[in-house]
Amino acid sequence: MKPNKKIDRLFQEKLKDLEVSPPDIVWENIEAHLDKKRGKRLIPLWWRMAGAAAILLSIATGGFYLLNTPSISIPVDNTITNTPIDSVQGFNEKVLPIIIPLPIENIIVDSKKTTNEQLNSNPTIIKKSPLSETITSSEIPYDLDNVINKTSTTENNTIKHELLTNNSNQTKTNSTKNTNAEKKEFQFAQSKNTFLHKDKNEIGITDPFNTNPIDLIQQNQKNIDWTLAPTTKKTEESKLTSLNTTIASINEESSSLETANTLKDSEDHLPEKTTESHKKWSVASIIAPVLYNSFNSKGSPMGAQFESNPKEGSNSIAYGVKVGYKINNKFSIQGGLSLMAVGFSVNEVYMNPTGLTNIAKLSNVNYNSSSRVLNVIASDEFSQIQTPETSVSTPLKGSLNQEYGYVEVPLELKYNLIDGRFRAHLITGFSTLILNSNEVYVENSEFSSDLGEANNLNNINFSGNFGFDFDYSLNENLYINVAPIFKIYTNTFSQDAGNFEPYTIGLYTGLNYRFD
Amino acid sequence: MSLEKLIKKCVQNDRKAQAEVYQVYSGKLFAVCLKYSPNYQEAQDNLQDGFITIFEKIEQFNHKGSFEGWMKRIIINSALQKYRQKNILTLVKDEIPDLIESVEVNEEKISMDFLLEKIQKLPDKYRMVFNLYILDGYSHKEISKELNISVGTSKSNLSRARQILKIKIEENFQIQSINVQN
Repeated sequence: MKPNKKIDRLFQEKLKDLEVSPPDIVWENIEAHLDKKRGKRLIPLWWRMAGAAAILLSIATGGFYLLNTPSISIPVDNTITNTPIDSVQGFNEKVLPIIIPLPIENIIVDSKKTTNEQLNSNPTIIKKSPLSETITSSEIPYDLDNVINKTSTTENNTIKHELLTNNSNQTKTNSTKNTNAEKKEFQFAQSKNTFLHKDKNEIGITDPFNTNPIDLIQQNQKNIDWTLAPTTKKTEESKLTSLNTTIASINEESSSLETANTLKDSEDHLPEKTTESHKKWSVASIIAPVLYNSFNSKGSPMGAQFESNPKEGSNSIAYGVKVGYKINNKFSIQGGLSLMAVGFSVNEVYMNPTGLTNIAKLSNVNYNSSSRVLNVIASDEFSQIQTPETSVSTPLKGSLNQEYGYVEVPLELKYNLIDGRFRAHLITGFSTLILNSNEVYVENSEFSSDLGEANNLNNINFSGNFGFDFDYSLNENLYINVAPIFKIYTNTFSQDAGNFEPYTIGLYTGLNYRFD
Repeated sequence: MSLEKLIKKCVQNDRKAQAEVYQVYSGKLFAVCLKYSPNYQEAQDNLQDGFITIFEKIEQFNHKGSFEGWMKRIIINSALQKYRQKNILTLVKDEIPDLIESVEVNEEKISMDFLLEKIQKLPDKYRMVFNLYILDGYSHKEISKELNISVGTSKSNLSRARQILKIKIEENFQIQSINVQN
């Protein structure tokens, strides 16, 4: 046998079925790499889902608001729960005057709850509502008028009905207490109801004071021959005195109520204003294609040696949420949170493993201990060292890529230029950006290899933002928003930025939800 | 589980299936890596990169040929890639001695580890050609394509690889015989 064949056979036979268990670390690394791959793909998906969740949440909140518009029930509930029944006592003393503003509340209460207990407790509601408080209750939705108008007729009926029922009970037990005073008291209350009924277009709260209550009592005296339930336990005398005090204090307070009237008048204008400005808040999920680049086309954050290499900024996508608050018709502010990954590539670099040439590692990169270390050579350097003897095969030309990401917290001021269904704003502001990913890798047609991370990226940097913002309203609550924004970054690199001056141009698009 | 099912699960990125494939084939494939690499560490890197490629491209496996063969080709390609990558700027000196006569050696006394070590110590381009041609049955034409060299270069590299190995084996045998004599 030829010696050649012999040596071939030796190796073939001996090494044919060779099996060597690799160290465990290999599988761990493979697994980590596969996980990382999966993780990378998941981030944008996660953000997309977050955006969808934000929209759903907005819609849900919107629905909640719409279903709960007549918010009058809130004060009523409060007063009822806070009212001990036995405090009826106070009704006969000083409190009665204040009963006047209250028919509205009575009506509302009655429409909700129709037990005797509630009726009994009404006087205490009155007690607990000092005049000023009753007036403030007119601040509750301006459409209170409407509510009252709509309900007053029916409410009057119910209240009469209840009182009648009540009365029949009372006559059985307290028939002797059917005094004039009681009558008068009720008449007084009743007159207000009638009054309210008559003047549907007026605000019930204050109107009773425009006429002399005593006249009203007298006018209605004939019609009323039944008693007011809550007062049944009172003596005649106390009733009489209390009625007197009532009338006296009505006169006293009518003057202060005039002031209240003027106050009310000014508040009557509210509805017109609020139609424009009551939806001060807005929330949006935003998505933006972002172009990242440098003012100085020669600069590279990877080092000055890459000056003459061609470079390109990467296009990426930013995701986030935005919250806006309208200060007045001209100005609004907005803030939020978004995630942005940017990148920058230096092309036409040459690579080879360390140890084979004298070229130093990139000073701006902290190399991974696990990654194979490659020397990355700028095109300038390469032409110097490239001689016929040193090259064995085609040189590996590729790109040196840097990718980093930020959590961005913008704070911007918007100035309204055009108002209406279509709105345009000027935007100016700044963002704080917190570094959350940092990766440097080389890539060519055959492979890509992680180098490590850049050591000259600052953890926090800032951007000055300037742009336009266009809104188009879909309906009262929803509008689409497109904002081309230009951002200039400062403090991005700690040192040796290679005259790199980054900027981004992003088209921030979002679906906005407006609410109070 | 059938191999087909296992591969299907790997396509779906099922970690357990991937672990099983690794469990079954890593021994053989690591041996391939050891033959193609200059040292243990690089063989390890090679296996790692190769398996990552295998799992990333497993949906491209067409179930026609042998799965093991398909994986082996990926591993070899991964080794070749490293070789190409490494050799862009290396200065290669042809310091090969002239042809020498063969010396008879007792094959039984030569261990696998010894042979592996000798292969690993070959200059990269000789190791590549030797492995591809002798151990993995590539033709010189295929090799010339893979390594971007001419068929002639492939042939001469192979014969030089043989010579070096022969010398190393003989040296070792002589040392052994001297040791035995002493």
